[in-house]
Amino acid sequence: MAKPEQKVNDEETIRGLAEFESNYLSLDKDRLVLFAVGFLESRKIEPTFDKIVVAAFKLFPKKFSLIGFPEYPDGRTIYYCAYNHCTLTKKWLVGNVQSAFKVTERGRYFLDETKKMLEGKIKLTRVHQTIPRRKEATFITALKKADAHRKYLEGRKEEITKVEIYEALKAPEDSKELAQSHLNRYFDYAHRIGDSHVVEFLEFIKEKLFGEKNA
Amino acid sequence: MPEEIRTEPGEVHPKYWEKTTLEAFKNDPFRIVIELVKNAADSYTRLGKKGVGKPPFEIFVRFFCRKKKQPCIEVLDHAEGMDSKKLKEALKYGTQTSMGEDLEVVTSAEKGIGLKDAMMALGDNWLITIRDGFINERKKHPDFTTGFGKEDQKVAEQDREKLGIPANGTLITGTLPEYFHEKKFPTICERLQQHFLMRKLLQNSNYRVHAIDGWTKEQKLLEYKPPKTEKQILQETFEIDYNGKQYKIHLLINKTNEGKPQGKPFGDSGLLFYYGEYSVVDFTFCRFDKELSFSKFFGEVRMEVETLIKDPTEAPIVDEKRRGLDPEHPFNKKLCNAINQRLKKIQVEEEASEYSFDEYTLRDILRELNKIFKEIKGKGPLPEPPIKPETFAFYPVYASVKEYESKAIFLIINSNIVKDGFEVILQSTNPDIIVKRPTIKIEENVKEEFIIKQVQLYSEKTGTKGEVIAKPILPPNLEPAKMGVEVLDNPIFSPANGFAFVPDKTTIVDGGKKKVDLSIDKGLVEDSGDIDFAPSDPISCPGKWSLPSPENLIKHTIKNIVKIEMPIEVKGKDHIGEKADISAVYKDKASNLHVTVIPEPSITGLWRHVRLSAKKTNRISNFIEEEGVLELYYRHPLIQKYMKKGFNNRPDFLVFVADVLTREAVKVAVSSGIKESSSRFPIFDMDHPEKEIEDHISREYFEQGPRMHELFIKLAREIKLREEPV
Repeated sequence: MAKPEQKVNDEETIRGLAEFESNYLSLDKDRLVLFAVGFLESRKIEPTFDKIVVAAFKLFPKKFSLIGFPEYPDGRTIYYCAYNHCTLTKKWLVGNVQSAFKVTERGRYFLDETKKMLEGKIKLTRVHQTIPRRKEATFITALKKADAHRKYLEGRKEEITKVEIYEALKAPEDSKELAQSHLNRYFDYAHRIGDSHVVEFLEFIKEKLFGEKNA
Repeated sequence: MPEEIRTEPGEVHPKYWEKTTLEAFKNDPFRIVIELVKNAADSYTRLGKKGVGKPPFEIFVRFFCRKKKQPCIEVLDHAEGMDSKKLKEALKYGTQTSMGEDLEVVTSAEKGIGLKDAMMALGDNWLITIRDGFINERKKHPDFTTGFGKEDQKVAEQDREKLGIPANGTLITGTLPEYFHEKKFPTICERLQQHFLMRKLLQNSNYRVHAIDGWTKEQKLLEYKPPKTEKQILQETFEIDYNGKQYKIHLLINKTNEGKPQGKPFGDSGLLFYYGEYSVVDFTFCRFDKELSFSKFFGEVRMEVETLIKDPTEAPIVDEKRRGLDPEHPFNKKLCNAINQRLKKIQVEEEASEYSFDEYTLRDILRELNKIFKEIKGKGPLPEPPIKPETFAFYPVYASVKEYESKAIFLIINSNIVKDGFEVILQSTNPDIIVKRPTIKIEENVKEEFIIKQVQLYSEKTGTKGEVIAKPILPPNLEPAKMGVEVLDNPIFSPANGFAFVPDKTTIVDGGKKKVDLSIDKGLVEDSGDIDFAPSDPISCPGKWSLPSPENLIKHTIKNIVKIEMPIEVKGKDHIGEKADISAVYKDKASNLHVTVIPEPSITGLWRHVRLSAKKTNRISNFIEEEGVLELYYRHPLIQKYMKKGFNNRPDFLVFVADVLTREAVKVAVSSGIKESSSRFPIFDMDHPEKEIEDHISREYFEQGPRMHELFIKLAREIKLREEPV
């Protein structure tokens, strides 16, 4: 009877995990998954895939939640980090979804380094992306690369032409309806990934395109 | 001076004239005089074609030059003269009128510049013409109205005498405009003789153009003498296929013995494009205009294009402002293309250098030069370390080292802990893992926030694992940093079958050489013997390679293998993308090496090439910015002075060449640095930057000059005669 109790305890322990207090947003997701595996091992919990998913999400919810559904873990991203990156490429972990995972000797060094990073003893120069690479992020990234957005950022708002706005919205110049529809969708994407700068830019575009029409 | 009786309104707005004709005249004021002279000549030509009148046809151009006022001009001919009907056509815009020397050629007078335009440009102008005993007098006002004096009046004998027109003829008078700057009669004559539009007319013995000083009555027959021909370079007739018709083009190119001024309107060096007898339309070397290498060339292009010009549906081949051939006209595009091709060939032949630098030396030197440029330009900020530790840390924290190969890792130190000095000892927990230079010491004050120190790791024992610990001595109480190390197999020690090329695939630069490694298990090498090699095209290598004698074998032995470095090379050039195999056979063992020929990696940086050029210029060296090429003109007399037999080893030649190239290179580096806004070359006086630029150049010459000098001496030693025929 002790065995099922142990199981419940593992799950309860993981359920009871609170969000990590220090700033983890700048760290890359691979390190955070490695940390979650190390965390489970340190508490004598076998790092099976499902436990890693929940533990990573509970510890670092801002890094591992679904777009628009912050209360749910992004299992796909965690799988890619745990297996494709940490296991196959970086060799920090060994194992797979069927056999569960384990931190390697090499991984220990990176785990220690990650702990220091989370403690603030070592800072990473590069800040890693938080939002998973889904359609929303892909389209907002493309929007940010448009000439209109570049000029907006450089404070050259008055130089932004209508052609550039249509180009940014990926709509043909003669179709205001399509531009409007794309604009609404961009608003939706920007809100969902919480990019307030892009929302401001979209407000500006909206006024430039449709404000003039009203005038 | 005739008396104006009445006026008639003009046909076009003066703005149109200002935009087109006035601008053309302002660019080349002599055209006002030339238009009047050519108008007279055209009139004679038409007479001649009717069989009336015999050459030489005489045109008199009288100048009344004044010191402080504009010269007055009179152009007189004894040709057709005009009646009132013809005059109306000649002075009106937008009608069909005869054009040029060819009677049958009609075109819209809206295009181009003619009699009316030249008259408009003259102040107080009058046109007085007599035809079949009737005299007409007209003038053009600046607002385009036409003023009328006598209209179809019978001419009195005393008028004829006064005008100097015994039969038919035309006299045009007026004051040259303010933008006509020449005020002296001899200068005006000289300029007229030299003007490209006058050349064919002045060379034609059927026409005689007399310039007369109105005050002294001095008369001068205008002549054009082309430069003396040293050598005829090209005489060719070819056809231009345009709109289904063939137009013959006669091209003649000559060379003179010294460089001549180039280009319109007074240059000697250029190609004179003309049709008919004297109708010049342009003077240019097309794409090679103003190219110094063509300064000794001159010639003409006679175009049999009368039918094209006659075609009323065709756009004029001369541009609207009569600057020259309209570059957008499709016929002209074809013509210029054909001429350019021929000129290119001539240029290549003219500038073909007999010498070149050794290719490999040149590449090395270019790399060095570009490195120096980077130094001259100044370094940007140091790259940020990937991690920023509170104290110090290894990056990466785990390293895989290949046996018998060094590997660099980094220790990143926060400068906050360095204030009173910094010292760490690097200790390996496994004696088979060696840390080269196990002490890191920083004594001096550092400006950077983080210091990056390289640590070299080395091991000869595969499978070994261990740690490197950085133990701080100063400051003493810091926590040590550690990193993990593993030693992996090196593939060179595991040749497949005990005998193999490692790696078994390689690339080689087109026309290049390199060495490849062949690994042989030591156990297989018994006595000295031969390895047979069989390369396939386009690769060549020695067919046999004798293994070193047993006493020398030790030098080639590492661990369990004997390593042989085999030289291979590409046979000639132009084999990019081709693949080849080299098979090696030793006893019963064989191995294959796959080789792919790749293009030469391009040299990047400010300097991409240094070239010995046969161009004859006033400079000894020059930098062609758009190509990134530093040129040395070896035909320059100063280079020739030192370029005697055995020049490659003559110190005077080497030092001179190196100094010339160094000075040019430093100058280029500084000006490029300024262009790129390098902080090393601040310019404070933006209005007069020359002095500051000179100071920068002098400073760099003393700082970087000696290094460049050495490089260029090395390069000059490798000057050789070109192998391939030029």
